[in-house]
Amino acid sequence: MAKAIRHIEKATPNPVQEQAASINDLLVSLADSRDALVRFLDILREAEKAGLLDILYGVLKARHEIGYQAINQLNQPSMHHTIKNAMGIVSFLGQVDPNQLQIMLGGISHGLKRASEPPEDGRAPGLWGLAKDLRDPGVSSTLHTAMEFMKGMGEHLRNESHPSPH
Amino acid sequence: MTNDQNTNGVNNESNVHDTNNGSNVNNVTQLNNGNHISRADHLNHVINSDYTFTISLNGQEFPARPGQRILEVAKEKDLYIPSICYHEYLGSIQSCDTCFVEVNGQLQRACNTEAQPGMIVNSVSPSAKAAQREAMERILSRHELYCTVCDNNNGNCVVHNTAEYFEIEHQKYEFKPKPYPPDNSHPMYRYEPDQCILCGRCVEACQDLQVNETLRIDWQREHPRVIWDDDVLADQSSCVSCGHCVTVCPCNALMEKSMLGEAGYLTGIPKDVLEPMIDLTKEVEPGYREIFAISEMEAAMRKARIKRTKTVCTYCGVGCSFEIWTKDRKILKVEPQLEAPVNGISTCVKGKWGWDFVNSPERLTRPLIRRGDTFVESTWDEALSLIARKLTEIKERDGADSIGYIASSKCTNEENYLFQKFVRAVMGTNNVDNCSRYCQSPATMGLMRTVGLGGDSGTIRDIASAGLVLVIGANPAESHPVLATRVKRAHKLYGQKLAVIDLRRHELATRSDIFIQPKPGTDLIMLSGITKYIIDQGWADEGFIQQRVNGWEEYRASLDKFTLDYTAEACAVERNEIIRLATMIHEAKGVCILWAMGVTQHLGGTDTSTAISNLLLVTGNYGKPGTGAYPLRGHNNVQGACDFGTMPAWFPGYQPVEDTKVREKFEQAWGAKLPEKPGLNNHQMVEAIDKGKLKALYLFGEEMALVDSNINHVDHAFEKLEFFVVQDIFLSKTAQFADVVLPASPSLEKEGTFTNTERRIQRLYQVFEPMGESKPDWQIFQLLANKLGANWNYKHPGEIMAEAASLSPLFAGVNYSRLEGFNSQVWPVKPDGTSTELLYTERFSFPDGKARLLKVDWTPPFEAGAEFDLHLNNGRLLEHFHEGNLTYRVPGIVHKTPQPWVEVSPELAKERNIEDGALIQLTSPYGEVEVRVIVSDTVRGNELYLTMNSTTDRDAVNRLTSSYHDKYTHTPNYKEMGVKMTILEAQGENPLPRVNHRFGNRVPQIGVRVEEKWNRNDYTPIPEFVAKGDENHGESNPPH
Repeated sequence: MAKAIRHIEKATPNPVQEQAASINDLLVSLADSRDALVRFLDILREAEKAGLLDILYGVLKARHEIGYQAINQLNQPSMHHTIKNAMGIVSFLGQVDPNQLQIMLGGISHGLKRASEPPEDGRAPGLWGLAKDLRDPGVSSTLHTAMEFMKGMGEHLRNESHPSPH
Repeated sequence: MTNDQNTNGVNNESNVHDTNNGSNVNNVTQLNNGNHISRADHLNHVINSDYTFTISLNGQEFPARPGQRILEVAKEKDLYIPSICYHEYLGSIQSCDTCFVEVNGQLQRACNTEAQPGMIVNSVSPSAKAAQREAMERILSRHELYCTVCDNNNGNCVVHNTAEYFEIEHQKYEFKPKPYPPDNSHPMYRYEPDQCILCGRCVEACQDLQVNETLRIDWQREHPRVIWDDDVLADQSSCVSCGHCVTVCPCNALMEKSMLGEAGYLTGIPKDVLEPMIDLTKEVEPGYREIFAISEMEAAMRKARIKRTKTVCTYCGVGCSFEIWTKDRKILKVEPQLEAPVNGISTCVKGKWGWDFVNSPERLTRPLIRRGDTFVESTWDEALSLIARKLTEIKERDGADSIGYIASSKCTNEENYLFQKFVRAVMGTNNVDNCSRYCQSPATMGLMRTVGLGGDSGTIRDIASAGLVLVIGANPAESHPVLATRVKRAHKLYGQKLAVIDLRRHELATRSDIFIQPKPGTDLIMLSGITKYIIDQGWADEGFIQQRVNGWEEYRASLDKFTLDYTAEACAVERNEIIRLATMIHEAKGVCILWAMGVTQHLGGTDTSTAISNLLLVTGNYGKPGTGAYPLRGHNNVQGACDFGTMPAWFPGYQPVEDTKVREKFEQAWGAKLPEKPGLNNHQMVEAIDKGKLKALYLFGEEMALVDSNINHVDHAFEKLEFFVVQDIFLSKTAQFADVVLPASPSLEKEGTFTNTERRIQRLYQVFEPMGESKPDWQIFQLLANKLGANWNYKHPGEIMAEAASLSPLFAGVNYSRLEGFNSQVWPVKPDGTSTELLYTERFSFPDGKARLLKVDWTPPFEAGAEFDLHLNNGRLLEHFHEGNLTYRVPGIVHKTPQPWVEVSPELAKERNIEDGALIQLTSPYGEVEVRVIVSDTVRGNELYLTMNSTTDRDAVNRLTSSYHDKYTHTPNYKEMGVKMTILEAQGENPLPRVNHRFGNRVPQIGVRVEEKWNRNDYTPIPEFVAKGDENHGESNPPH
């Protein structure tokens, strides 16, 4: 006669045995990763010496608070500008042709060199001298480049203030 | 509960379009203008054509078939045309406008424009691209892109992927929130209007695929949104929680709650950090390209920790398969896939949400041994040694036949095969059976004796394509929900006729073209009367009968007494109803008959099943697409358990144990002498225990102490057993009687195959490791067999299937490599692996290839006696599986449906002066239950319906049922009982909470009614917009 029963006597696990089994599992893993662990412990030691672990501990413990503060700091108009500008610059750099930039920068560098050399006769050129310099091929090509640059920039500025159809 | 689905449902005879919004004429044909085609036409067009032609698409020639739309032509050859609202299962919706292409120079939607020979299509021309782009911009004005912190960013978000395709850098129209809060009311999913792009996929799925008709988009309001019923919270609506809407949502507007905060690496961030983060991202928005790059990376990282595993549902015999997404042991969601052979993207509430039981803390994790009044946890070795010793002892003392074995229709084919091999080859008896004895054995027998094979004649596709579906004694909308969706869809959209014969006005009855409510237990007379009328009218398919059927004359003569008058009187129905149904059967192009427990669980269950088959034979409704007999299997593997031999008279593949040749084959393969005589079935085992002949019982995965009939009697028998082993995942009611309980693993923790009601074999893959020390059932059998010296060495269920297939011609070509992933095989499977989806196309399964008409007579149902004045009907309901051992461990389901109830007709409630919530006692000659009342017009007169979702002693229906049974199969007559009612409390709390779908108010319509969107003042058709060109620019409000 076996009546329906519901009571279950759970086998209480022997804590000492369970712990021993877990430790044994751990030892096997440790032995398998000996080299990596020794190196990692070394890094950890250095981090401890440098006080990094303290900082990390603090950050992790207060992660929600810090995340909340940080995101609210970032989510301010001035920060929006900073981030946008930073991204704008990065994006600008992405658009510039490296070869062109190289030539341009080369020119600036060479120009700077010339500019810092003392004039041959030690005097600043007169108006006539300047006019004469305009005929110099170097000067006229730089001026031409600057003119074209201004035209291009002007074109873009005009477009932006009177948007054309998408 | 008079405010049931009926009130606003589709009436028998009325046109669906008239039931609501009478002023708004919206029907299928209206969609049919120009070369835009209606769904119904489309279905017929594409299916029936072999003819192909070509169209030019972006300068290349593409093959097309008549009726195919441009988008489908492109998809077939992997040419990408953007599309968001189009869905393979829902077809063209035309709401998103992203698929505009140039067709012979005109802008047209690719999703709804039929391919024509010589057509020139361009999907990348400037105007096509401008149109697509404009559509996408409009969508993004309604959807905020915060993909990296969105739980839907899993690589399959349609909106994300489409936006990325367009390489959108900045939004043209600013995102504007809608003035509605998110709807988090439903326990399983949420709706976030702010993210909703109004594509209408969810509405189409709800209205026309699931056909529950809960969702709509209200296009009339200033800010359209999806609404439930008449704009109530999702939880308070008629929503049956099937999950279709969530599955088809192309973004994160409708999401499984189990995904939220879990799927992404960053989505679990607390709200006070997350919201400013989204703001910040938007504020500094560098352009979407960068955002997409990060979100793509994050989506890729998610793959490392979200595991997607294909599995097969265990909640009924339909055989839905889907992927289950998990993170460690947490179930994130169930995601159905297009390629699932039975269900595609469909699920029901149980399949989509009902898996929490797997991680229940109540799972058994170690073997239990009874010591006095307590179960004590033990080691496997201890438990198995005890079982081996006791079974051997009893076998040696009282003979092999003094032990019985009960197999599980919830477990795999391989487990059933191995179990019967254990029983026969190791334990030396044929005393093995499974729970088909409680449900479908009469149907199997009825078919085996008329057409030769005990299974559905065809597949769910045949049911969907039949001209007439006749449902008798079955409630598929609740018991086989996904199969029912195919009937409801065919009926709603494609003109399929639906006939229902049932005691209850259940959902399909409310939708049917003809609904007949006969007197309980008279189905055989009704069927025979219809058949006779058909023959008398000269409507029998004489050609078919002459060529393919035996026994015609004798059968025909046996129908003499079933005249119209006799039938009408015996069944208590009108003569003209019989005539009308007979005429519909005659006129239909293809008839499928679906039946279940309402037919089988009677004294004459086998004969009524036979009468169904006879009717189909007389009308020639076998062996052709869209015809046949469909006994709907109730459990996921009730078909497979029978197929793989856990039956007392059959080896696997329905090979008789009495056949010497067959036995020799198995003896040779298994290396053991096998018993010759058929063993005891379930019912006989209980009787044999009672008589002291059966001393021990080994049962796995069955809740026999609740679901067998007359359980008071069964409980007493269990108490008499000398030794009882139960293998289960919980300490079930049955397990509470056991001497040893072995912890098994459910389907998600093992591999194997199930066979669904279509005879379709499908693989399930392991999702989790077995919990604790529990083990898959097949491993337990092997361990025990080896304790008894069997020396088995199966390493994987695939090896078991290989052995079973090699011994059973029916499954000759079944093997695991052919069943990879979503592939499936439908038996009989030829050695080369070819399936047989439709049976009997050439011959019936008898030696001469001919079917047999068999005369059957009516068995009057059991009468409990005059004092038991009420008829007790009973059965399943949608939300709970069977008695509820699994589904009561799913909080969302319990929230919706916490307990069983009894339905009482309004007239009886009035007579007895009781209301919703009254507590009554029902008493039969066999026992009594206490249960609360729902007054409902689904039942009538003195007929009661008691739902079977009970795991307690107080309200389990089988306290009332008897041990009488079908004469051939011993299936109990669960559906034949008289009870009397005692009122304990005349009023009380309704047993169903207000949030149950039965209180909802359906709102039927066809599709999402995109025309209403087009008619809005703020909608500018895209071609018009593109043609206007520059004029439109600069506006800040997007056109809809």
